Amino acid sequence: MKLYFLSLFVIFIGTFINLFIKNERKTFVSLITMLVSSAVGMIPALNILFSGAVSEIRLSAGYPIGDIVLRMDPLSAFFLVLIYLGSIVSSIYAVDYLKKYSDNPQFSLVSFSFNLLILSMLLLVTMQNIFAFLMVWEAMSLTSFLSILLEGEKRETRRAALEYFVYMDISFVMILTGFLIMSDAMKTTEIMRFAEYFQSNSKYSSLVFILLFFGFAVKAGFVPFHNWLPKAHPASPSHVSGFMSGVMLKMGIYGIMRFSFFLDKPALSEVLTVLFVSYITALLGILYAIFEKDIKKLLAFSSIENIGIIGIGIGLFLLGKRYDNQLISLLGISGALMHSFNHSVFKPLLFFGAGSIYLKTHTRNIEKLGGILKYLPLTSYMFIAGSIAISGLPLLSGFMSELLLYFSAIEGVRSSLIQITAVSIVTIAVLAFIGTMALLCFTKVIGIMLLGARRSKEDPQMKDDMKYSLLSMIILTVIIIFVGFFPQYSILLIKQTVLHSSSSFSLSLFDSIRESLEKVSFVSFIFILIFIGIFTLRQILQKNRKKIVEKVWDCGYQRGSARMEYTGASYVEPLKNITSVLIVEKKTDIDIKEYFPHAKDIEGSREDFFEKYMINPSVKFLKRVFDMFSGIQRGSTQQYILMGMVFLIISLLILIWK
Amino acid sequence: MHIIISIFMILTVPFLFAGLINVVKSYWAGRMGPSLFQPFYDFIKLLKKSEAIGRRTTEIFSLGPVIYLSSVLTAVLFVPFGFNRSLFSFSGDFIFFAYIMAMGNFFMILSAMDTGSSFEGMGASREAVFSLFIEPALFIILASFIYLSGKTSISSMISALNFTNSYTIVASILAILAFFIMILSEGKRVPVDDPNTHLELTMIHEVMVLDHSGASLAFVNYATYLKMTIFNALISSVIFIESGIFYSIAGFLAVNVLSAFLVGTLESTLARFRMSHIPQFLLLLIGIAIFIISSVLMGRQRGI
Repeated sequence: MKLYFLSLFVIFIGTFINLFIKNERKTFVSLITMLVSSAVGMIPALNILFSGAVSEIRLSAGYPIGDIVLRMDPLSAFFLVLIYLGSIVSSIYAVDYLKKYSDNPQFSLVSFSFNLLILSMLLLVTMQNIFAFLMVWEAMSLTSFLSILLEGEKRETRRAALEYFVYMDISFVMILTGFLIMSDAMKTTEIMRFAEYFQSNSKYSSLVFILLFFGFAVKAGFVPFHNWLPKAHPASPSHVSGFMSGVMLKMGIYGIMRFSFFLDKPALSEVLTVLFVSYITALLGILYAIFEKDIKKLLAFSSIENIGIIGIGIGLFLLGKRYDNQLISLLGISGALMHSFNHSVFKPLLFFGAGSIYLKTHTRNIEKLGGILKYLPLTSYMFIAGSIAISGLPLLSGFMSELLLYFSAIEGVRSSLIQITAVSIVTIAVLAFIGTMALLCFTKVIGIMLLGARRSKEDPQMKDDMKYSLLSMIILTVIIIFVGFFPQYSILLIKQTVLHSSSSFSLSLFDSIRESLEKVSFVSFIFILIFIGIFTLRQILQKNRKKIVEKVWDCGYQRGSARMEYTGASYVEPLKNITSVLIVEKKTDIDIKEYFPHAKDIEGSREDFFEKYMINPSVKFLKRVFDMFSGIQRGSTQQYILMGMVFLIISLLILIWK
Repeated sequence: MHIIISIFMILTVPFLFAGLINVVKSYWAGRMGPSLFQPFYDFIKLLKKSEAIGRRTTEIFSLGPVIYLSSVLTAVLFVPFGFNRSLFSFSGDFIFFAYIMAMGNFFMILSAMDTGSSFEGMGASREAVFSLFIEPALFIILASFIYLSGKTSISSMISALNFTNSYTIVASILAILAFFIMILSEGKRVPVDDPNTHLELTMIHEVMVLDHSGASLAFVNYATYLKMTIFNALISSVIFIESGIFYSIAGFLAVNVLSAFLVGTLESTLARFRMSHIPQFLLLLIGIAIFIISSVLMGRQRGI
């Protein structure tokens, strides 16, 4: 634990030094800070992650707060590793990315708050005292709010950041309420002691769990609280959005996992809430991602989908726990943890790739890109690797975590209880549907953005010359490939966390998973062998032949240009016809009234189903309700003091009366 | 010995299957038609030709067909054929089976998009959207087999089917129907797609591989035939369970002949569906899958 404190201290010092140096050097100092801090902090984190020990430190604080306990168990250690990893790669990436912005007025603010964001997250996962937890939670929201504001002069950026902050406050209120109910019942301020609350079968325990689930779900981006994500991610600089999407969302997942570990025999309502919300999240997330043309928005929606997949894993974990089926629940939580890890690797990779392309081309609209692969080959190939991983296709990491979830559901199908079988079959169908939709989504991104011909006429002089950003992407790609080809070893990363998650899990059960993963790894190598065989066959056949490079077939039309290429919108048109119910489209069509033709504009945009039918009406309703009280607000201080007095007297009277 | 025979069979039968479809089609049209071995001759001829590639293309364009073929060949490992046993199996292997084929599709689509032509994009888009429905249906059907047999790998779950229950029979017949529809859609045949069409606007698969030539085209065609044979093998393994080597080999060949006859006949008597009706046709697959799972669940709960 001492090393852990040292690593926090290093970040603190680094942030402090950062305030007093030139903008150009800030990213370097941050990078060094993060490297040192991670090197120091990884030691205890990895130690606990692999040994399964628990270490704890107790600081005494004054009356209202109580003792502050910092406790590092395998679950916290797992998330600590994610945070360290994410902070290293995004600091490396930031060195190149932020060069362009060094004269930006918000530069210091962003660099400062990003460091503090990492610091608050590191504190969050070990914090045991609920008040301190909530304070750190708010600090995390505040610092991430500030890190978004690099391009704060743009109105949309400020709006997105504000909206994000409002969502986080809703989350805060829900978590606070849940904590207070539990702390009142158990007379404690320590999170670990809440386990007894859930085991004591108190009347409201499932209500409290669902409240906490939704509270953390806002942070994680579950539907219907997802809408801050596609607004905040595009607004923030790429290293921040990669970090936010890859790691910060996982803080919500951390909270959900922490409390689902406490449940010994979850109620059916809890299991079904988690599963149902996760299904909707995953399906809707990927559906919206498909129709998005802003690359960063698309990635944000895809994060929502992945959070849904992690949620499905947690749901299966709870399902297995409810019906005492260890294998379902063990596979479910392994899938959820592994997918959290994988997502925090490939999502930053994709965001970094998108960011590099944005820096070179100054557009995030994939309809205006195209043919990037020829100019930025390394970035593009790594982006493709990330896409394969995120679509859950074999050989790379995403497949392996989805496979664990499938294994869990298959185990459920075999169960003799029809409830489990029914839920598991729905899970399999949902996962399969998500998989195919992800394939559609990422073939669109790659096909339109990286392949084909360049659509805009701007200067195509760009090269893969940003060394630091390439380095950070290479690190992530190597991890993706390793996890994909050696799942049997990479799953050791979560072994202790999984065993820690429920007292009934045994080591032999976990080792049985490793055996089937070994076979998957074996088949991946068979695939590679077959691939090499066919590839060499082709090379041999083509050896002495000349390659004919010609125009592609376009029906005999000789002047085909990049404008005639298939666009992203047309690529997904067939699906739009099928799912038109969920896609709310707005079109502003400017009518031509003159007799002679001239230029005409059509603008189309898409609205979020939940925002239109759920969020906006409820906000309107709240506004109406609060407008009724607007009469009280007169603006004179005397009146406010009077009201305060009246309030105090009334509450005193109530206390006395009781 | 078994393994050598089965590998030889699975590698050669696809050509005969495709040849037979053509023979059946020419019979219905009253033509002499090409030889049964014509697809094989075409394959060899294409391998010998040099390739033409588009100006805008990258390495992805030529990698696509190679990955497509190797993914289908890897998928073959998990399919029980001939001896009712797959070459390789592990618990939950059908997920790898489906996903590795999806991987092949992924690269085929990218390979089409790489040309930057509007036609190939069109084909890629249709291919991607229409394949949305196949995987969920396949998974639901196999999940109901798991529920029936308690086994989790493709070959063990099929060979553990017990035909003394009426609901298993119902489920198997429906599953065979679903597999047949999958042959039509994965093999890009009428009524989903017409392999002989000459208008780019109405093509799906053909337009995707419009600019592939030489060895690449040979690989793509072969992989597509192989995919159809995989589903034939699934059908035959459901029908001829545990019936000795001779019968299962004969059964596998018989199913291939029968299904070639059906595909050829369908192609000669039916027109391709309108593009907007194809999703409805493919949604039928999910309908059948839901039928299967509910009949199995109800049947086993009531013990019919």
